[in-house]
Amino acid sequence: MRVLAIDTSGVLASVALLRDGEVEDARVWRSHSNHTTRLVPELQRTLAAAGCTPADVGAVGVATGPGAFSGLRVGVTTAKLLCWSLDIPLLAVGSLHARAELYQLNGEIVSATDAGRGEWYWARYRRDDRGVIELSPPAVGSPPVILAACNATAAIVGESLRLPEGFAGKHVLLDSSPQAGYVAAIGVARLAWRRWKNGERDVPALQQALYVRRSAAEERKRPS
Amino acid sequence: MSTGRDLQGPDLARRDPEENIVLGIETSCDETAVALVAAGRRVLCNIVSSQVELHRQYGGVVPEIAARQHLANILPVLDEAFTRVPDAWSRVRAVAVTHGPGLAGALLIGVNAAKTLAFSRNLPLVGVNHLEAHIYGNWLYEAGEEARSEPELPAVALIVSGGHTELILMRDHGRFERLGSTRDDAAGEAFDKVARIVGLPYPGGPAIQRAAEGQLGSSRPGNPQAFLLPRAHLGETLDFSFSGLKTAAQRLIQKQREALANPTIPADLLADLAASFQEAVVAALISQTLTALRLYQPRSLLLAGGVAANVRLRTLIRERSTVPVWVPPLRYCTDNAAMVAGAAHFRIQRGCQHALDLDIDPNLPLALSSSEAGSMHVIPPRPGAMDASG
Repeated sequence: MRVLAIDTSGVLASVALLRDGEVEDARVWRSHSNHTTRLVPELQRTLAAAGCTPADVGAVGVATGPGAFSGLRVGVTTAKLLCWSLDIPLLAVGSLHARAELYQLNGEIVSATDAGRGEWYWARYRRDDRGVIELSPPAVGSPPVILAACNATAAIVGESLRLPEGFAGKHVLLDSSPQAGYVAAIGVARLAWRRWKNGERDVPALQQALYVRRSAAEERKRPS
Repeated sequence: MSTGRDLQGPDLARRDPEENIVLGIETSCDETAVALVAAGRRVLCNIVSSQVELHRQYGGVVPEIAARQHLANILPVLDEAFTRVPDAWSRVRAVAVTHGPGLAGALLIGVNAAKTLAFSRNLPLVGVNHLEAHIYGNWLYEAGEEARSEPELPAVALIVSGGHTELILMRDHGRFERLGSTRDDAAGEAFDKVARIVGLPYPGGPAIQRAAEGQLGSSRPGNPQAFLLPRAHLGETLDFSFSGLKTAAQRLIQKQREALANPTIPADLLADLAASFQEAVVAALISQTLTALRLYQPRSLLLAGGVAANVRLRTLIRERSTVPVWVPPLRYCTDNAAMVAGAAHFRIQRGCQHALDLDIDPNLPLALSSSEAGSMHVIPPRPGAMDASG
């Protein structure tokens, strides 16, 4: 059973192909905020490298967010259309969850990513015997508030994150960039594989991106 | 399964037209649309999910909301298309998509959807220019109808919508020259803004037309000569400008309001204001179009875009055109995917297809053939031409 996984939630985009839980191929590239040109060609190369065709894919995993809105939509559109076209299951995975999954850590993990406007998208996770599980859902907030709210010994995971002043030294900051050997799509693929084995399936037609933030127009119109 | 190489012109011509279905996808603005079209002309299904209700509360299209909605709508719309034509996949020969011009975030959904379908089904991908697609709305007919006669080329095309106001010379299939375009607002945008000022709903075009026709509670149709609004003079070009007209209309409406005790504009006055404004927009469109007909002597005039639905524009242009006028049915005037599939068919016949690294281009120009690129934008002097209908 092959799972094809897509992550376009960050500055670095990646795809991975898992066969019965083992990585067959994975690719990562710097997106330059344009996922459209590279994503489908990279999927094509990934399948070709494994000597298979789209018809050999058993399920698609995708990081639904949070992250840059357009990037998320490129990945989620591609995943939805693959599942619809090939009539295979879709497995949605949180982009922060996928990054937390890459670490063999005990204790609390805060997975975060830059949300612009001086804020982070963040969520809390912990590894137990089932794997990395979510303690709090993805939210957006200012880094000092986030760090004050989480366990003092929590490990912070996030691409190119800088801890705000006063917090350095209190937390372990781990880089989840591919330079450190981690490819987010592999985290997506593992979580998707786990969900597939548990019999979980998402409905492609209903799958949205996980934006966390409303659009600017909606925020102006209806302040919460 | 067919590959891209099966699709070159001669092969295509030999096939049974019903075996030459193109799947079209359109998401450049606020309509999520999918269509199946045989031989570039015969529409097997044309599914459009409009977001107009969603954007109405903002008085115009909000790009981020449009993109989110396209992502939610794309599979239901595709499902609907393939439910209506159940055996279509075995006859689909290519996947076509609008890749510009349009809203970046909106275009992304259609382009990535089309690429994924082309990749997963091993079909050729054809990117289509949205304006070119609008022109090919004039070649479409319904599955139940007889094949229609077709516009003779060369043709001049007037494309008017909420996002575009363009005069295009179509010398032949795939040979387009832009003769003129708006320097500020699109004609449809001007309708939207004036509608908002007088308290009519978005989209403004249909609302202004109804008010002008006397359908919004007035005792009579509006008088198009009730108020004189300025016409833009744009020198020796075939360009358009609607911002001055819009500002003048805004001032006129304000002046009329000040004279009233009540902030609500009486229905008869509203009808006159709407008719006068509509008349000024239509006159500007027709004046430049007639000039283009005189300068380029085409064999047909093609109308396209949502504003082509305007009855006053259709009536006056039919009266005054020196060549046969083609106007697609309303459903192919507003944004749809049948026109995208139609345009793609003619591209395929010329051997055009795209690789899977196709990108969106929010400002995509209408392609020029290299031999003509040097000669465009040059318009011969024509004394007094601008006074034609102004």
